[in-house]
Amino acid sequence: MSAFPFGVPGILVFAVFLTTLVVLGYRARRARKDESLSDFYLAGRTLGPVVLLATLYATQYSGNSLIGYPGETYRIGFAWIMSVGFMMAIIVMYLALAPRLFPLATRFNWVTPGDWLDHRFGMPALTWTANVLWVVAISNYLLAQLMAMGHVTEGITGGAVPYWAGVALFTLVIIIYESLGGMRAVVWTDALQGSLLIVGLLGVLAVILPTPARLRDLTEWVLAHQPSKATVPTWEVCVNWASTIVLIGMSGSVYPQAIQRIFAARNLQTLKRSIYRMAFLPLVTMVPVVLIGIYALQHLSGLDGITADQVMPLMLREWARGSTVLFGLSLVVLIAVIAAIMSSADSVLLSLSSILAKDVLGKTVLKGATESQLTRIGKRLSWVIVAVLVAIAVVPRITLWGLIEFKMEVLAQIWPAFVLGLHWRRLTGPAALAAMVMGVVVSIALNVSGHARVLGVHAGVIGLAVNLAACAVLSLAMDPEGAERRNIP
Amino acid sequence: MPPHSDTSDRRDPGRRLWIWIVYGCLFAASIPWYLPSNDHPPIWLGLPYWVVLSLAATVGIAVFTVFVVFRYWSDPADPESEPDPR
Repeated sequence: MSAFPFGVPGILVFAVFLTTLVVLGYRARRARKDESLSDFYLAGRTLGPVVLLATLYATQYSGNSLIGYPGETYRIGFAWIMSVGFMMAIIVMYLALAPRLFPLATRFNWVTPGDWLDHRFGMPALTWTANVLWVVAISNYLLAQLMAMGHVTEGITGGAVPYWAGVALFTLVIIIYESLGGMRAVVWTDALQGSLLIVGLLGVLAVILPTPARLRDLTEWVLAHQPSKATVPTWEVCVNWASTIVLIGMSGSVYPQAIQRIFAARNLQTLKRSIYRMAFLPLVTMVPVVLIGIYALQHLSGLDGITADQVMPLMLREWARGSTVLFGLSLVVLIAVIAAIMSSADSVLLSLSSILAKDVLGKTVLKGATESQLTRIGKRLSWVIVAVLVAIAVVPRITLWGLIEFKMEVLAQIWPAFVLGLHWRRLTGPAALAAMVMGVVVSIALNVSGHARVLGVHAGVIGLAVNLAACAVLSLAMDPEGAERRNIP
Repeated sequence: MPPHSDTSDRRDPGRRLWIWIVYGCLFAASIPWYLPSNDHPPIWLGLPYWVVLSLAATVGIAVFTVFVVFRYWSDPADPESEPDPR
C-alpha cells in the first residue's frame, strides 16, 4: 500500500477539488461590480439565503471541529456532546446583536465590526483596543487552521508528505482564490466546502454506525473498557460544560468574519432564514463528529501514545482500507476536512485583511486613500499575513484545541462593549474600554499563573464577569445622569 | 434617530427578558448536572441516557430559535411583519 491510502484516484480527486476552488476564485473576480471595499470584503452585500447559510456554516465549522473535536471526544468521551450546545450558543447569541446591527450596517455602509464601535462610542482608543484583540484572536485562529492543514496531510500520508508541505500547498490555493475574488470567492468556495462536509460526515456515520444496535454495542464497549467516558459527567465537568457554553457563545458571536457575514446579507429575510437554519446544523455536524470520536475509542484502543490531533487522520487511514463505499465516503470526508479548514482560514484571512487595511492603515498611514487603493493594499496584506503565519505554523508547539481556547478567552472580552452597547444606553465609551482592558488582564493573568480554569470555570469567563461588572459600575459612576447617550439604535 | 423606542424593542428578540430565561433553562437542561451518578447508566437509542437528554434539550433550543426568529424579529421596513405586541 502506498503512503497515501487513497492512491492515484485520491490524488486526482484532490487535484480536481483544488482546481475547482481556483476556478471559482477566477469567476468571482469576473463577477465583481467595482473596486470598493464593500464589493471585495462583503460581496457587495448581495448574499442570498443559500450562499449566506453555506458561508456561515463553513466558516463556523473549522479544522478544529473535524480534527480537534474527534480528538477531544477520544480524550474525554461522550461528555464532548457539549460541543452541540456551545456551537448552538453562538447562533443564539446572534439574536442579541443581529436584529439591531444589520439595519445599521446597511444604512451606514459598514464593512468591519469596528465601524459599529466607532458609531456607538466615537472613541478611537476603544475601537483600536477592540481591533487589536480581534487581530490577535483571529490571527491565532488562522494559525490554528494552517497547522491543521499540515497535521492532516502528514497524518493521512503517514508522514510521506511532510507537515510543512501540507501547510504550504493549501495556503497557496487559498491566497490565490481569495486575492482573485474576495468575499465572493470565499462564499462560493464555502458553498462547495460546506456541502462536502455534511455529505461526508453523514455518509461515514451511516456506514460505521448504521443501526441503534451497532451504536449500543459501541456504547457498551465504552462502558466496559473506559467507563468514565460514558457515565454521567462529574460536577466539575458540568461546570466546565456551562463555562464553555458561555465562553464560546459570547466569543463566537463576535468573530469579525461572522459579523461581516451579517453585514453582507442581501436583506433581513435572508439573514433571518440563515440564522434559524443554522440553529439545527450543530446537531447535523457535531453529533457525527462526536460519534466518530467514540468509534475511535474502540478502534484505536490497541495503539499507544495517540495524541488528540492524530485521531481523525488515523481513522481516515483505517476507513480507506475498508469497503469501496467506505473508501469513497472517507475520501469525501478527507476532502471535507481539508475544505472545512480552508473555508475557515479564507474567511478569517479576509477579515484580518479588511481590519488591517481599512481600520488600521486606512486611519493612519493611508488616511485619505480611496476605497480602491485600500482594497488593493488589503489584497497585498493578505499575502504578507499568510507568509508570516506559515513561518510560525511550521514550528508547532501546542495542540489545536489549546490554540483555539486561548483565542476565545481574548475574543470574549469584546462582547460587553459590542453587544451591551447595542442594548444599554448608559454604557459609556471610557467604561467599556476600561472594562475590556480589565477583562483581558484578568484572563491573561489567570492563564499565565497556571489558573486556566478555576473550579472548572474558564479564566476567560471570569474575565468576562469582571468586564461586565466593570461596564455597569463604571458607567453608572462616570455618568450618573446618563448624559452620554450616543447613537444607540 | 430616536435613542430608544418601544416599537423597535418589539422587533428585537434581544430585548425580551423571558426569551433569555427560556434559553437559560434549555441550556441548563442540556448539561446533565441534575442527574445522579451511575456506574452503568441506561442506554437509550444506543446512547447513554444522559446524552439523549442533552440532545433533546439542544433540539429544543433549535426549535425555540425558529419560533423566536419568526415571531419576534421583524423587519422595520415591512409593516406587515409587525410582531406580536404582547
